Amino acid sequence: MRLYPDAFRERWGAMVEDEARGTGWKSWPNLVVGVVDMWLHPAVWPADSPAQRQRRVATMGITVALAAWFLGHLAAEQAGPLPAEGVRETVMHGCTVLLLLGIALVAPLPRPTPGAAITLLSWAVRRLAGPTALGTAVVVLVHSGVDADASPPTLRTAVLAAWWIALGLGSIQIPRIFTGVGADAVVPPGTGRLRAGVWTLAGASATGGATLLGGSVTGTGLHPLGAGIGVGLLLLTAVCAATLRDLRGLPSAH
Amino acid sequence: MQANDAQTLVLCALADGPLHGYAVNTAIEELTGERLGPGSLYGALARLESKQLIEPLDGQGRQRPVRLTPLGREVLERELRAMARVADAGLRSLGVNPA
Repeated sequence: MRLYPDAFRERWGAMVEDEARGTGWKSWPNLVVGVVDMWLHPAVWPADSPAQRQRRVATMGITVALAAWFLGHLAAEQAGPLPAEGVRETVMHGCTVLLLLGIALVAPLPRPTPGAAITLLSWAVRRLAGPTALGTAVVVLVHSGVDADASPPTLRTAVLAAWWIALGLGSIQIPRIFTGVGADAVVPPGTGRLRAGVWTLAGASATGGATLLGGSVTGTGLHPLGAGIGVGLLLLTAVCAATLRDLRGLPSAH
Repeated sequence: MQANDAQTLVLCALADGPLHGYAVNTAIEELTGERLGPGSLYGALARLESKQLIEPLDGQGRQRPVRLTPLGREVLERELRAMARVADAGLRSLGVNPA
């Protein structure tokens, strides 16, 4: 039960527990599917208002965009499957532009008040202090004259791991800023803008995923990491498609 | 929606009046012969509530009953009529009297 989102647990938790207790262990697989299903559909979580649902969908959109950016960045930093020339590189740059456009469309806008700005800033500092400190430490270390090639392999591995952990943590923490600040500090985008943003993100992840997957399984041979990243991006497209379907059935805030 | 869709089954169970989650599942068991898993049942309830097809009532203890909204009743009637039309046409094609 603890794995369900808070909003769902508060509304239905006691009843799910009673039902699951009555059925016993046989209900566990269905519960696991239910938990995953709920996390993938924030638009249907119990809410006080349509605006609250829209804020959750906006947060979901930002999460998907950052996950897609992280995967795309990971692919770009690996040797192959995308040679740094030609059509594929152009396609991936196009996907990055689409991701940025998608983020601009789905991002909740700060309320134009000093109080809202302070709240937003304090949440941003709280959430991003860790990854920023870690990333800065890596940059300082690399620019302090340490020769990565001459360094012991363990140091090189540790620096690389710290860099990717900083990027990953940052990608996780940015959406959490918007879940933390609440309605007093930010206004969610309207249904139309939200839908356009999620469509844009779906287009970016689908194009990037298909390009990476195609480049990984054709040509010089199978590139497992590239193929995995391509599949990951296509799964993000499926998440966007599910969100668009949820948005269709929901009442509007306006 | 389809006849075996969890949301349709929940709406059908609520057509007689407000019920809490466990009672909804008991009504579904009487209708179909098996209970929905808790993940499916409460996932369907959450979706129906988000579409404003059902609404919660004040309850006692851990169980909180829900009921159909006027919109939910309208949607259920439309779905059941559509299903009945398909069932009628299919049975006629098979040469079976729908009645």
